[in-house]
Amino acid sequence: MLGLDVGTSFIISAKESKDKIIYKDFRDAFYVIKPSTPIATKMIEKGLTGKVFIKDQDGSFILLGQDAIEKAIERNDTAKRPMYRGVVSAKEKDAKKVLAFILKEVVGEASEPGEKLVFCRPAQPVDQEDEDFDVGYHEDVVKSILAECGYDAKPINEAEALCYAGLEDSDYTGIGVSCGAGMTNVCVMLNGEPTVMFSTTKSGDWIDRMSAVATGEPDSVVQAEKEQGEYKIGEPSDNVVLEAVSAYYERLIDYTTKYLSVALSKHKALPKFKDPLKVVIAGGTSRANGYVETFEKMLQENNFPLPVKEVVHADDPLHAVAKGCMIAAQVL
Amino acid sequence: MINSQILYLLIFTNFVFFCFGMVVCFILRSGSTNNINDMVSISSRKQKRNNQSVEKPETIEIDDTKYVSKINTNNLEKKYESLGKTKSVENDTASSINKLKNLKG
Repeated sequence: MLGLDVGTSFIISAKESKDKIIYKDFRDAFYVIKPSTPIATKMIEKGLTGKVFIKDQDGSFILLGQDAIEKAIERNDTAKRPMYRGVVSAKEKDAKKVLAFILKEVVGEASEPGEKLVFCRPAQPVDQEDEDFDVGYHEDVVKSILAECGYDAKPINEAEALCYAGLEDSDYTGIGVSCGAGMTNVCVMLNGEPTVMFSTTKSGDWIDRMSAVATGEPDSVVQAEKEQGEYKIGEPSDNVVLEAVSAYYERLIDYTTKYLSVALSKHKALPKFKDPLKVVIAGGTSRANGYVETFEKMLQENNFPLPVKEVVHADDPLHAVAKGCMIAAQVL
Repeated sequence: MINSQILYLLIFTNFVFFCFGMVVCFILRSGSTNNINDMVSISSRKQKRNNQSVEKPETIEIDDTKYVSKINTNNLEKKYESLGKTKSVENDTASSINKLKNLKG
């Protein structure tokens, strides 16, 4: 049985193997180089030795993962993504093809026909009505790719998966907040049953875009600085890019906690909880230094309507959703 | 004097005939509508023979969700040895799975 986190920035699989969980993760990015002459083709191919890339029928080279981001930075360009805001990108022509290739490589062939696999999908966003945002189509695309590999694939909500991985000690009652690259997904759970689920369309990519506009650097450069640089949210930095990143992180957390407060204040299906709730946070965007502390502080400042016991970071923030999907594959 | 009386009589007679005509037209028109509706509700002879009744479907919807075409990746030539990072950790999910199974019945 497999769990699969199909994210905007990372594709991560989780597989049980005896007493171990084996995670396999791959950066969800690509960069296309189209040679103009046969000599250029040979030169480029030689230059790409040791990199992860594929050659398309039309002669173009498609770099994948981290190598795609590095090559894009080298050329002062931005790497492409097969996914946009949590679903298959409608803007990229090669998106489906590249996503299918990466998914097939990460999960491999099913060990037996109809092997159970649970993958995550985003919730409907509350802050945007976009015709391009089609969760149903995204689900169908992922299912059809996984069916080709021999899996019986089922979708669950991304934040619901996080709750399965991070709320065991509170009897699966609490709130899961999954901060991915494209979206922030929220699930309110009561005794293992998801009661309220929604998403917002601003997360890590929004920080990259806004910081890139503010500093004049490409998104890929900002993303690389954000992931490798040393900074703390809310504290000044000597690096111009990191200073912008830190400022936009604060705005993003303020926006997310405000939406969380408003959405739950007005929600009719919200159960009445006896005890204060545990909030578990995960996802690549939450790995920034000071994220959880700022989130907890702003939750109080923005009048969160429910009593909160604690706000914690998942043990393994990048792999928590994949782990939750793997747990779900054995329970649902 | 006589002429004006004849004129009033003619107007009155015309008005009565006009109203009568209106009533007749209304009755005939509603009668023909009923006939058309009756025709629509007539079930076919084949259905009658098969003892089937005609049921009006409630709402018919067309499936306008995006069609997922086959995604061909066979023409992509692999130029690397391994893809992705692998990480192995202790499996601590047994208690989570049991607890969830109990909660979900």
